[in-house]
Amino acid sequence: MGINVDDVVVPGDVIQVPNENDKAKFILGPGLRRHADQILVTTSGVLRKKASNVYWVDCHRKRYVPVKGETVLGVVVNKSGDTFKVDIGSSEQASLSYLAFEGATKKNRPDIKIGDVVFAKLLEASRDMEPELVCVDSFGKRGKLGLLQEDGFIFTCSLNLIRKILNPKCTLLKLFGSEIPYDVAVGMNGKIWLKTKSIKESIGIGSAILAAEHLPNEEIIGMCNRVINNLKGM
Amino acid sequence: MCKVPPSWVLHYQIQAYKKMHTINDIYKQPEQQIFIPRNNRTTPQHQQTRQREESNARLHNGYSTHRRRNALHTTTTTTTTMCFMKRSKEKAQREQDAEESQAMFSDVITEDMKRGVCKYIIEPSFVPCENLTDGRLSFHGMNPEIERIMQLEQEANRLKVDVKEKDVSDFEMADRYSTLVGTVNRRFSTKRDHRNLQECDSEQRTKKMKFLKPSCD
Repeated sequence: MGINVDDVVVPGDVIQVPNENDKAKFILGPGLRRHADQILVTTSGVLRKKASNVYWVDCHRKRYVPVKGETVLGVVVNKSGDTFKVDIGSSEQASLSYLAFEGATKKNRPDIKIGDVVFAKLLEASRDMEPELVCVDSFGKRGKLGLLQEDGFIFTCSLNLIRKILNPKCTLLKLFGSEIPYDVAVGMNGKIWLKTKSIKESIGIGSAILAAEHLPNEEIIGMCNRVINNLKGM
Repeated sequence: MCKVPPSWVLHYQIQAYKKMHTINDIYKQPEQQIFIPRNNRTTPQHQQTRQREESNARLHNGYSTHRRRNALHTTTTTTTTMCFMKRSKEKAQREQDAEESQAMFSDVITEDMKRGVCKYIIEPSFVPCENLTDGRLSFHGMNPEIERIMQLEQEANRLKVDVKEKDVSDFEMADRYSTLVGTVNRRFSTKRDHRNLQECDSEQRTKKMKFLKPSCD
């Protein structure tokens, strides 16, 4: 019995990919592993497929494993010499060089204190080394990365919820944005930073994001509208 | 010249063979055995190397240069600390470093990638799989800087869609050609027309250059 796309899979399952032409390449996302000529599942979840050759396993997970190139939200916990230690929720704290900020030089150090929140990109995420963060792109520009303002609210959620709300099909963040002024930073490590004009709005949007975990996209729209109406009515 | 006991010859043969086929070659042909006994070497490549080794052996009193160099891995450290062995020692060190770095990046650069026959590409991140957006958003002027970048991105996306449909839009094309009308017209006009045109221009020029009396006195 073969495994189809959108089936529930468990570790050890073997996936048969269509083998029409040998030239075609397959992209194996998270949760899949190649062993000899077989593709094995390594996490339990739902098998997903995109554009005929991209496969991955959609799983429920709370522990973040750093992956190179992802943007994460971290809290500066230590300052030691040239680097900051940043807690990104992974097994090891990430390091962030003081030179990895826009316009930073040896003389002109960025003004960062312990407890500050940064939105950064993972430059290095190797098995054996500590993850390394940067707050600039390859051109030395800040872009969307960098230090976040102090008056925000941080909360943690599961990694699959993050993927759900960052999916282009999910309109949750935009729906709130059309009615309520707010600033948000969503890290792939399951941390969300939120800044609004009042505490009520922060609580409203925050709990709406957390409630979206077990709702399909259509119900999310209705739930958002209810929250917006309540907030406006107050 | 350092003499090497005959019991080490087997080791030297292995080392010399590794030397000839650089590390990349070994990865390209993983199924090939690294060590092949001397009397079994039949392929032209092996014959060639055998000849080379033999000629080297004649030159160097029974030990080929390859062998001598690779003997360093096993010779006592006292020899390597000698002054004249310095370069060889550095080389051995470099090789060891390269091996270590290869082991370190084995999860990034797989052996299949080196072989160039990899059918599967491993993507450890969900972001490209699900086309996730980067989660930094701002609305209604809460963070003008982020909103400006969001707007630029939106425009870039729209342009990308436009470009997919047509390289140059109809309006741009029409604008471009309307500026060319005069230039192309002149090309087909006679000399008399040219002169008329120039006179016209000169009249305009004199008109422009005319002195205007200041009115404020």
